[in-house]
Amino acid sequence: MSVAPHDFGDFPRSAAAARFEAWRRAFYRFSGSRLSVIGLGICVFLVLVAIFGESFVPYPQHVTGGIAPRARFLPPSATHWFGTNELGQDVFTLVVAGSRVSLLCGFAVVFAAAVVGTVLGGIAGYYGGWTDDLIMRLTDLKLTIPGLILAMAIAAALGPGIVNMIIAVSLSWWPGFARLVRGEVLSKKEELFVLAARALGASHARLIWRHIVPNVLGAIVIKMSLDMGFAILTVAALGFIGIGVKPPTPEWGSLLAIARGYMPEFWWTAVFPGLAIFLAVFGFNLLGDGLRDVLDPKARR
Amino acid sequence: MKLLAIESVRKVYRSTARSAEVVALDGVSLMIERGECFGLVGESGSGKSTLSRLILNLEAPSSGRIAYDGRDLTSLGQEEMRRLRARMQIVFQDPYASLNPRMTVHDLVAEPLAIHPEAGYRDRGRRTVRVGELLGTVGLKPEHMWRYPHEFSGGQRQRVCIARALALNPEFLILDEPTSALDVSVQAQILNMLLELQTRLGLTYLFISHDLGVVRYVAHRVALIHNGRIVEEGPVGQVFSAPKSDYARTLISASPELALQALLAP
Repeated sequence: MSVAPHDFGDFPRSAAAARFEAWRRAFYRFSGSRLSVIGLGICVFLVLVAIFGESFVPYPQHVTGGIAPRARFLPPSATHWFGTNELGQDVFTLVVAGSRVSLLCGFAVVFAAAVVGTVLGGIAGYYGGWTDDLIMRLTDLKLTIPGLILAMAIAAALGPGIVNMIIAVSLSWWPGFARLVRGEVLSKKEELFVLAARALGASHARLIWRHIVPNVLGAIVIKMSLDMGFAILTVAALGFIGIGVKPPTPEWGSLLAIARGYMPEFWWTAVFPGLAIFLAVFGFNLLGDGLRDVLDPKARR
Repeated sequence: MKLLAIESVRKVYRSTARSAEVVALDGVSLMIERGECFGLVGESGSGKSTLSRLILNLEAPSSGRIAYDGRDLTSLGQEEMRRLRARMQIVFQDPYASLNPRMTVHDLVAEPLAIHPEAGYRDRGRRTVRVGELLGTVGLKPEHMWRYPHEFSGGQRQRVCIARALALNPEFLILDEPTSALDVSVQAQILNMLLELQTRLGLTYLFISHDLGVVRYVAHRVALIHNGRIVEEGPVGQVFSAPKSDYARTLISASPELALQALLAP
């Protein structure tokens, strides 16, 4: 062959090296924005607290419902960083311990909603026709009812309990994912590289799993991260109105709900759980924005 | 010997039942002989790309017949069609859109081998060796197989697309404006490579383009398509030196390069 080989300089030597290189570059782009790095930091911190925090809290007996009547409503101090509540429990201990339930519930909701929404939205977008109409009318139905009200109704119907609450919130959450995924699949399906694969004789399974899903995954991950904060907020709101997590299990929303009665003179009982919720919402949103910069080719540059 | 026979093919699109029809192809008939490079020239919207989709059986003609190697495409079963797809390949105009951005060059070039296990590349290791060979054939280095498409220039990506099209040793290649998106200098490299590959591998080309100069350079025979109809067809020399239709004359006189050549000709 007379064509001279092109020179590209450095190159990865294997599939693994190529994947590593792609990740390294993605992280480089991600770290270009200070806010996304802060978001990632907050999220990593919260997850670490949720996993290990309970082992290091100063008053572990308060996590399981222990009370200290003589230490009621102590303001923040060196011994009680966030003060104590109406039962004399250490608010710092409760907020740290509550992170596990709040984050876990938030993640469970978003994950379940993403799985259901992706499958249904994917079917609607890929196959179209009457299945598309059916699934999309179902999501329209959801749009007519505010999410929180729907979640409350389902939670009330299913009865109290963490699992029921997660089911209730996910059921009101999946249509957002379904709409996103349907739209993405519809546009990716028309991409030239999908047509090229069809011309090669690729099966539906290959078109979906090799060509469409990997190109839609970015959008799903971004929405998951952006929704994480709101899901924690919704779980907290349900805890606030008394559906879902029951005392003594500490959870940010229910901590806030109880503290409401003692505002403003014992402000620390409400402010610190509130700040924790704020931090989580803020952190996951920053992370989502950063991921969008990396994963969404349309938003790039 | 004819490889592809297109007989009075008509393709009509309509978006909804009540909207007006758009006639993309209106009674197109063409014959492509084995081993030739057949040029198809037309403006955008003339039906060139529709025709290539019909030949690949990605869409069915509204009426008419397309026969590949004597067999009517619409009569083929799924499995027969899949096997036939190994014999004809396409290279698209836009090398940025026609490569999946989430796949490495290795996976892209190996994909036809994976889709067609009957070609004898069931084993992943053998596929990788084959990918290396193919990249060499199109003037890339085998080491670059682990890169992603966005790391390449337009011309390099088009080489990847060509390597992918050659993977299964096809006999027929549809080149749908393969160089239109490229710089002029890169265009020439790719065109020369395509010509060389054609003689070396005994390929048959359907070369679709809006560029008369390019078609004149590569094609043996040429057809002009305008508003979904073939307005002129014949050997390249004849069509360019003695065009019969008004449209061909307009087109040729509108090409400064060709007009100049005509003036300078004795």
